[in-house]
Amino acid sequence: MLPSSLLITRTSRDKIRPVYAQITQRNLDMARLLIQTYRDFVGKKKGQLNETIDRMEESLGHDYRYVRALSTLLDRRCQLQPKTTVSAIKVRRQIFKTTHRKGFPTTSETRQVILRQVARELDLTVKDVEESFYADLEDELVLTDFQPIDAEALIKQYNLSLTQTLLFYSTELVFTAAGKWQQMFRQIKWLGLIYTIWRTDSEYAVKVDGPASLFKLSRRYGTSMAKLLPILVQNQEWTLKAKILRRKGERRLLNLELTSKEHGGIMRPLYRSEENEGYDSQVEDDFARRFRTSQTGWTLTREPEPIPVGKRVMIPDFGFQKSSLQVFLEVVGFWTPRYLQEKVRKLSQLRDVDMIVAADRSLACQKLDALGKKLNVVYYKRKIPLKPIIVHLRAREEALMKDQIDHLRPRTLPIHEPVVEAKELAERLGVLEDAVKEVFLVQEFPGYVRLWDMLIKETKLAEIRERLKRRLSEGELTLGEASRIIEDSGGRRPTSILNTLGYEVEWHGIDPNSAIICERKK
Amino acid sequence: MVLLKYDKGSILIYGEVGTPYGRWDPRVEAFRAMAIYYREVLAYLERSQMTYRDEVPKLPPVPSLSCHVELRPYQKDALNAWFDADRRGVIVLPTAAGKTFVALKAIEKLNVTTLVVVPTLDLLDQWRQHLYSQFDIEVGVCGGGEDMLRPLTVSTYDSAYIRAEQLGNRFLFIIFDEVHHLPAPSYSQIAEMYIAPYRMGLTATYEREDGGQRDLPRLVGGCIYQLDVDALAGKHLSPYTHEKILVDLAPDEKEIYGREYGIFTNYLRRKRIVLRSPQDFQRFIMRTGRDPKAREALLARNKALKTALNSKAKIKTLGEFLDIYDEDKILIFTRYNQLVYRISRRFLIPAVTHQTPREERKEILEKFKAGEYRAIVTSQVLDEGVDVPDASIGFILSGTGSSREYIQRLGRILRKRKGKQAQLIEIVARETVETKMSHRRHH
Repeated sequence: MLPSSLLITRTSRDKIRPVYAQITQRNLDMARLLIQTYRDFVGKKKGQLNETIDRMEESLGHDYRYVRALSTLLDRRCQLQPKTTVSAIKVRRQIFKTTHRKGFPTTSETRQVILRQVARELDLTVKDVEESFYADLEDELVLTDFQPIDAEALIKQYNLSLTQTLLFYSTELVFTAAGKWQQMFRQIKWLGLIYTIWRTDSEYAVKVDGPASLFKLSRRYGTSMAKLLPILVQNQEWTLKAKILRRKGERRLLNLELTSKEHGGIMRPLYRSEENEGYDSQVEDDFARRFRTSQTGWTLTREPEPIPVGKRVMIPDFGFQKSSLQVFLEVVGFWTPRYLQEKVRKLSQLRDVDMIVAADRSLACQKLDALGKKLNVVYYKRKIPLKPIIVHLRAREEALMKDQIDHLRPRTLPIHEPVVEAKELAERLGVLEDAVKEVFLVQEFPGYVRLWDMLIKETKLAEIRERLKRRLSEGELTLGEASRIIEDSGGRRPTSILNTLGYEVEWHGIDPNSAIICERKK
Repeated sequence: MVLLKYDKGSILIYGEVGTPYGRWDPRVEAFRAMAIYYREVLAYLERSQMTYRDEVPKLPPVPSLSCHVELRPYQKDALNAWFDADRRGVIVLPTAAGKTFVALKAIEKLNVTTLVVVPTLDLLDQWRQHLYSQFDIEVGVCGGGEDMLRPLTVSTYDSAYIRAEQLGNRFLFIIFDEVHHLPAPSYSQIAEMYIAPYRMGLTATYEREDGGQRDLPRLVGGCIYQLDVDALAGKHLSPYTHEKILVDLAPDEKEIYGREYGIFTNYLRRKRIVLRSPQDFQRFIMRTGRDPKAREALLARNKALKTALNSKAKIKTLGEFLDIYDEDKILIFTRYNQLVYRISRRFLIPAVTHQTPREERKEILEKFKAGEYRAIVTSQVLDEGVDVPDASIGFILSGTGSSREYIQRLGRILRKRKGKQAQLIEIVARETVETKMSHRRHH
C-alpha cells in the first residue's frame, strides 16, 4: 500500500484503472538503478539518500510518483540507526537545561560556551554533542542494512500496492476465484466485512462490503478490502470488480475491473503466504499426507469450493472426490464455545451434503455428539484416523456401485469401438470403474470377447490372429514386434491378447526385443 | 418480541417491525440502523409499547464520579444550555476559556461510561491527566500506541474512527474536543457508528471553510452556546497586541526567490491561469500530474516559498528579539520542520514536531509549564488546545493563509494570568507572497 498522493490512474467515462508499470526494459532499468542507489548508500545518512532520490524523481523522465512509490517500497527494506551511541534525547535534555541557566545564545560565542559545558558534563567532545544533538531525526539516521530485491519483483510489488491504494477508495468489491476460499473468507470475517455469494454459470461470485454500506456509499471498508487483494492474486485464475468513489471535484462512482488473464502476470505478492496457514494445519497436513499415500482411488482437495448454507457459505477443510461422489471433511480442532456454536449451527443446516466432522476428542462436547445423529462425527487424538474415513468412503462407493450395477445391467451399454476398457467406459458414463468391471464380468456382450477389464470385438481379435500367424510363418517373432503389430491393428494390452490367442512368451533377459513369441504347448 | 443487537457500528433489529431509521438488510435478513439512531429507535419502541430486548450496549460498571471543579458563570450557562438541549450539542468558547471544565462537570453529573475524542496526542495526555486528577480513577487510552478501555476513556479521532466497530457500543456519553474536525467524510462516521445518546462538542471555531459545520446538528447537536474572544478578553483572558515585522531577504535568497517565483508566474501567464481561490489552486495541482511543465512550475514556487519562509534574515531578527525578551515565556511557530530544527540548533531551544518522540514531547511541555524551559519552537502540532499556561510572547516565523491557524496560535498565549500583556509578533519576508499570506490571515 502506498500514500494516496502517489496513486496514478486513468479514467475514461465511468471506468478507472491504475496505470501499471509494465515489465519493460525502461522500467526495469529504473528499478535497478534505484535498488543500486539504496545499496550504495548503506553506511550513509538517510537524508543524503533522500536528496539523491528527490533528484532522480525529477531528472530521469519517469513520473515522479512512480519513482517515489518504488523508493517508498524500498524504504521498507531498510534498517536505520542513529550514528552515535549517545542518546540524543539525553544530550538535548542537558543542552536545554544548560541553556535555561545561561540564557539563549544569540551569538556563536555564547553558543560555544554552552556546548562546551554540556560536553564536559556528559564527558563528550563538543563535536560529539553537535553530532548527537539531533542524530535521531530520520534524515540523520544511518542506513545500516538494506535487503535487496529483484527489479522485476519490485515492479510487480509496486503494481499490487498501486491496486491496493486504489482500492482504499472502493465502496464494494466483487470477486471470483479458483481457490483460496478458506483464507479469503477467514480474512473477510476477521476484517468485519460482509459477503453475499451467488453462483454464476460456472463459478461462485462473492460481493464484499461492510455493515454501514447499507446506509450510504462509504469508503470506510476500502482499506480492509485492499487487504483481500494479496490473497486473491495468489490464485491462478481470478477476477475483481470494484466500485471506486472519487471525491476529486464532484463525487463520482467509477468501475475498476481486473482479471488474472490481463493483470495476473504483472501483479504478484512478494511473498506467497504459506499454503496451509491456520491453527490446526499440522493435524490437517499430516492427514492429507497419509491419505494420499494410502491409494484409495479418491482425489483429495484442500479447501474445495464453498457449500451454500442458507445465506452463508461453508468451506470444509477437505473434499474427497471419486466419479460423481463427493464427501467433505471438516476438522474441528481448537475452538471457543462461540465458534463451536456457530459451527454446529452451520453444520446442522446442511442438506444433501455428505460431511464427516473430525473433532478433537479432548475438546469434544455434547453439542458435537448431538450432530452425530445427522452427520458423521469422528473423534481424534493428535492424529485424524484414516480408517473410519476410508471405511466411510468405501461404504459410499459400494452403495453407489451397487446402485449403478443395478442400473447398468439391464441396459445395452453403448459400445461401438472395436476395443474398450472399463476405465474409459466408466468415465464416459459417469459411473464407477468398478461398477463397469462388475458388469463386464456378469454380462454377455454379443460379438465381443472380454479380456480382464477390456472388451475386444471378435472380428478385431481374428484380424490380429491372422496377422500374427502370417508374420510367424516368416520366422522368429519378438515380443517387441508382436506388440507393434497388435497396436497397429488397433489392439491394446498386447500380452493379454497374445495370451488369449494361445501364445507364450519366452523371455531371454528383460528386453522385449529379445523375448520370443511361440505357440503354447498343449 | 423485538431483539436489538449491536453489529460493528450499527444496530440490528430482529423482529417484524419497521422502526424509524431501520432499513432492511437482505444480507443478514434483519433491519439495520446506524448506531447514532440508537436513542431514537429505543424511544420509538417505548412509545409504541412494544416488548423488546436490548442487547446493544456493553457497559462496564461506573464508579461514583465526583470532581472539585468550580464553574465560572459563563461555564455554568454553557452547561445548563447543554442539558436543556437534551444533552446534545456544541459549546463554542474561545481557547483558554475552560471548555474542559464544562465537560468534566457534565461527566460528573451524568456518571456514565464516557469517551473523549481528541485530535492530537498532546491533548490525549492532557485529558488523561485532567480526568485522572479530577476523578481519581484509572483512565483508559486509545491511540498513540496505547489501547486500554476504562469507564472513562480518551481516544484520538483516528483510533475512534478505526476502532468504531469494536468501541461503538461501550459508551453512553461521547465528547468531541475540537469538534470542528468531526464533519469530515471519515471522522463523521465516529458520530454515526457510536450509540452514545449523550453527545457534546467543544471548539473555539464552529465554522469550517468547507461549510462542514452544517452536518454538526445531526452528528452531535447544533451550537447551543457561544461566546467569542472579545467578550472574554481583558476579563477572563489576557489582552493582547499584534505586530508585524518585515525583514529583507538576504541577497542570495532574494536571487533564488526572484528566479524560482519567476518560473512559476511565467508558466501561469503562458497558460493564462489565474489562481484566485483554493479551488483554482487545487485544479492547478491536478494539472501537475499530467503536465511536466506545470510540475516544474509548482516545484519552483515551492522552492521560492521555502526560501522566503525559511529566510536567514528571520533567524537574525528572531535572535534580536530573544535578546530583548529575556524573561518572558516564548513560543515560536514555523511552517516547516526544517526551520524548527535550524532555530533549535542555533538558539538551543527545545523543538516539538511530529518527529519528536512522544515521551520527550511530554517532558518538554511539562518543563515549559514548570518554568524549567523558557521557550519552545514548533511546527503545527501544538496548534490545538494544549495548555501552555503562561507563555506571553508568540512569534510566527512562517505560516499559512488559514485564519483558524492564526486564532489557534493566538490562543496559545492568551491564558489568563494577572497583569499579563500578551504579544504576538509576526516576522514576514518583505516583497514576497508571504506578505500576502500574512494579510489573508487577518481578513
